[in-house]
Amino acid sequence: MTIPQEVESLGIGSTEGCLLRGVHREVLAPTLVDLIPYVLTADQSGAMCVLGSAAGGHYTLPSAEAGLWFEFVETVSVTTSNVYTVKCATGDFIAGVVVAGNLTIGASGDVFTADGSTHLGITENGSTTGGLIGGSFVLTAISSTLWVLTQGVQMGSGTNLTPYITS
Amino acid sequence: MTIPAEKYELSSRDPDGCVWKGARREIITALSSGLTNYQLTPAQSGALVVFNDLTGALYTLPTPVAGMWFEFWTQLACTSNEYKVITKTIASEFILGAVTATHATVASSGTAYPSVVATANVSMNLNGTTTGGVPGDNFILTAISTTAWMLSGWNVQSGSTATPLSTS
Amino acid sequence: MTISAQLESISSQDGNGSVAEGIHREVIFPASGAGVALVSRQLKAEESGALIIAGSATGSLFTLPTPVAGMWFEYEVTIAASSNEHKVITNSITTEFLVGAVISASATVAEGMDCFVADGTANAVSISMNGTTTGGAVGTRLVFTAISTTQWFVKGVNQGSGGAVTDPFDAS
Repeated sequence: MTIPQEVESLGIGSTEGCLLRGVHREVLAPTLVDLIPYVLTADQSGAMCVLGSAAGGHYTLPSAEAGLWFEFVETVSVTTSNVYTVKCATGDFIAGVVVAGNLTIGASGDVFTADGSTHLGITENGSTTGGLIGGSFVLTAISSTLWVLTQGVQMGSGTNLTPYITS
Repeated sequence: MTIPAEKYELSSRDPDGCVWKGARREIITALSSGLTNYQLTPAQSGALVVFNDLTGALYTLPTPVAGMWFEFWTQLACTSNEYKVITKTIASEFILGAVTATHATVASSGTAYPSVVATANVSMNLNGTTTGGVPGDNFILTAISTTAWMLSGWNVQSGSTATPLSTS
Repeated sequence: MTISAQLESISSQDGNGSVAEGIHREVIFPASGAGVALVSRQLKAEESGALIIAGSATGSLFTLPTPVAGMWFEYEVTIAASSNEHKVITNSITTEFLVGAVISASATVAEGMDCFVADGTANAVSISMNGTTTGGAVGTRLVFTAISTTQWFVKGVNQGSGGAVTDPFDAS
């Protein structure tokens, strides 16, 4: 198993596993201040992080540790003069894909791949790189340097373009 | 509702539910290579399994107990063999649901590969190209009964799109 | 952060987080009665985290609970409805809404891969899938997560057939 030894373990380690019923997750909907990222922490792992302001907003992931995960959801379309960003901590990268979604019928379906070696964040500009209402993705750390992007749908307009950044 | 009676329960079943802050998950990587089988266990339910071996991998699901689940993600495309996930008892444990193919050629994206009850599909087979197993592949298998796994997710493909599901 | 203060916490909320090896979830899979055809199955707060199965050809109807931020349900279709529809609706359609998007898919490639948005208003209080052109075919997977007391974020893939898959969100 790839989980740091010091992490609290729930359950009793039985071979049958354990059951969790009625579980709620943390929902983070901070007032995001333009240019000042909200820095996530390890003890917020499992949270749904809301990108919910037309003025944009920014999250910074904690340093990667295998098993941490966060989901990001866009509930308000960012205006084209602003952006939503999610960036890794220094030294960490993102691998995986997002599927391009587009309100124009027939314009969805592109796939954009994060390479895990140079891509260290996602920026969405309210049009071609996403950031419209309904976009969402999950980032799960699988090592001390790599976040995996899954279940990603980039809601954009015009011709969808890659949302990944290298700096 | 299906709750296996013998499971150790983490909550008191309060009618308001409960909260789990700081939830982490297990990551499974490099436990199978090539054609060498790795048997997943109930105690690994909830894990993310990473496909990152150029020679492929073979994972066998445990005997299904409703509520168990595993997520799979491809980091590297295999160049020999395939990434395969198969049920433990293929005569009686089947895969239902669908994966949706995505493709670098936009016109080929969006093909769904459903698996209905009657088809008796028992495995996902990702060959690194036409049936997926290209980096970014991501699917989830959740046991919904003692005989069925529910499949959902994306299948990133290249070349001529084809189903990753099989009856063997 | 939004965690309802009255909820039982299953961890110590240690600064490093926690892990539950071998975690299983509840599966709600009605074969008859509430949740099948036009009979509503009222989902409950204590069922948060469950996988809901729509598994009847006569359709299904699930009603979400009053939203409390952090509550969530996953929903999957094992059998397309050939009569009625598969439907998920909020508990109070005048005050509780869906926000998010689903992407469509189809075994006929040209009929899928369109996106439909739930705008978080009274325009989107339910997702209604007829088994063909509004989706709800086998493999449809949706996830509903309450983000406030008035909104559920919805995401997923809506499998359809028999023509271009169209908007499944509804105002009733």
